[in-house]
Amino acid sequence: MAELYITSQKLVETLKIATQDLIETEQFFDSIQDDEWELTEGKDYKVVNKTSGLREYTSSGAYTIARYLEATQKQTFWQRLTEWITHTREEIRKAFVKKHILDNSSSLVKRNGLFFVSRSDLIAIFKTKSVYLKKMAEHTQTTQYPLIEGEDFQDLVDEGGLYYSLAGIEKLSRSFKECQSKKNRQEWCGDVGEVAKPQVDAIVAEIQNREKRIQSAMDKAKKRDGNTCQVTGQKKNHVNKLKLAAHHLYSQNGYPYLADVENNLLTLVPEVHEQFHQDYLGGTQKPCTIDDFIKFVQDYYPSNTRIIIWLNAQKQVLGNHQPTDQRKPHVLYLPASRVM
Amino acid sequence: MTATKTRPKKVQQSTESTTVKENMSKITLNQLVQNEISRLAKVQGLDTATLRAFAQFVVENHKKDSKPKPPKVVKPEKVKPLTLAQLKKAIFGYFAVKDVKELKKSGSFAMATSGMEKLDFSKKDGWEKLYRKFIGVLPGEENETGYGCINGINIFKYDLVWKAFGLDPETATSEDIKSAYRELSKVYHPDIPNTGDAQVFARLNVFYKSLNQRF
Repeated sequence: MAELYITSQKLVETLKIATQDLIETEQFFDSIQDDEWELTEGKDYKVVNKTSGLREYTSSGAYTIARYLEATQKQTFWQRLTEWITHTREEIRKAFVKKHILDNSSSLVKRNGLFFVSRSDLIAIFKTKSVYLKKMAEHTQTTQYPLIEGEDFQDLVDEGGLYYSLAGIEKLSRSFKECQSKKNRQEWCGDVGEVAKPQVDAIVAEIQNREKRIQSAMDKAKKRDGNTCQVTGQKKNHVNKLKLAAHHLYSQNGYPYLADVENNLLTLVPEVHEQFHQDYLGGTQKPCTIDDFIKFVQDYYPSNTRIIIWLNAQKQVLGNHQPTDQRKPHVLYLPASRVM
Repeated sequence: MTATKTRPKKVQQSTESTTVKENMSKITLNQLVQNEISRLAKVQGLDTATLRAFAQFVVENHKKDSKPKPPKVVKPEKVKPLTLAQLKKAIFGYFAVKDVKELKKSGSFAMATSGMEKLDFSKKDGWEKLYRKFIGVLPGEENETGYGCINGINIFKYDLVWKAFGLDPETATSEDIKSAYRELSKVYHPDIPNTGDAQVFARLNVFYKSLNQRF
């Protein structure tokens, strides 16, 4: 793990001392060289502001100050600092586990009110191997409370295999923690059983928000285009009650991160939308780019120079993008229906 | 003289009237009864001693209730349920927390209970549910009988698969699991008259699939 730095402000708060106490302590340390009390720049602290001399301390530097204060003021500074460092290290470790879950839960799905992730994602989350996960599951089955089908795991045929629920992951986490001999592995696997639920809740909230953001971007694009098809010029009014579509220039499935970007949307009548996706591209599931649409307009609506120019301008704004792997989309880009 | 003559007679009479055959208790039969004994013995040709014993029996037992007494019901020892404090202590220990506040914040608690209905922490019932789910069998619920109880365990309240199957997880083989399931199916399969039950069998199926899963 990278070196943990504690700011001067945080050190003052943690040790429950006045700012002046820290300044005086620093001055004392700097005033007499080569005595018992030494703080070495680089090892014990780094200067973050050369003008003011503001420092951030490493754990060794912070402990030295705590030891000095304890020796001179007879208070429990050491314990206060230890508690802070332990807690902070734990929080940092958990943040790593959370990030790892975020990057390895594209299989997330809700069934019968429970969230499940695939076995392969779980192997990645626990940073383990297939054979060891199997061993841990088998170990769990020999305990008083084994994994229960439908509650802790489920064979999701339509998803192509074995999935584990959050409750099942918690049981597995206990088995890992019990069977691992290395402390760092015990901590990692224990943390999985601690942070997976809040992390999944946060992911689901983000997926739901994203859905709202996409809808909002679509509405804004239609308003921007004056509720008018930008290819045919047909306008929605209270008589024709035209149902307009907001077309993603970079498709949602291939470029999910652009799905809620207003500049990536263009208002079309359903006939043109259908003509582009079905007839021109060969299916709504096929990913498309702005280039595909420019070519389509040039081929089928060549007289509409205004939109061709606008599209080329948008291309500059949006830039070039590589499609994401549709077989394994990032969990944040899953359709909301999957987790609702 | 008269007195001396009559006295031995009285003593003799008294001895006769009060002597009870073998183990009978000594009950004085009055003159009326004794006269009747003599009359019956004479008329019916019966043994006086037998009649006297019978009279003794009647005098001794005529007030007693002839109905057979019901066997004494031995009341089962009253099981003391766990207190709320004891339930909480067990749950706090399992999730390594100090109090309810920490429990509510615990990520592992949130995960482990994610499939459970919303829990009411203000009621003992909620804590008992947690105890059943994570700690073990509540006092008084061991060897339960009635609907859904198999091998002393209520399979709808507990996930104690091994107990329900009557197996030891340390030693049971897959063949033992299969055999236990087969035996239970013979009783609870919905097609079995009288004992078959769809809900019980469905739960047993879940248990069997859980133990039989190749992870």
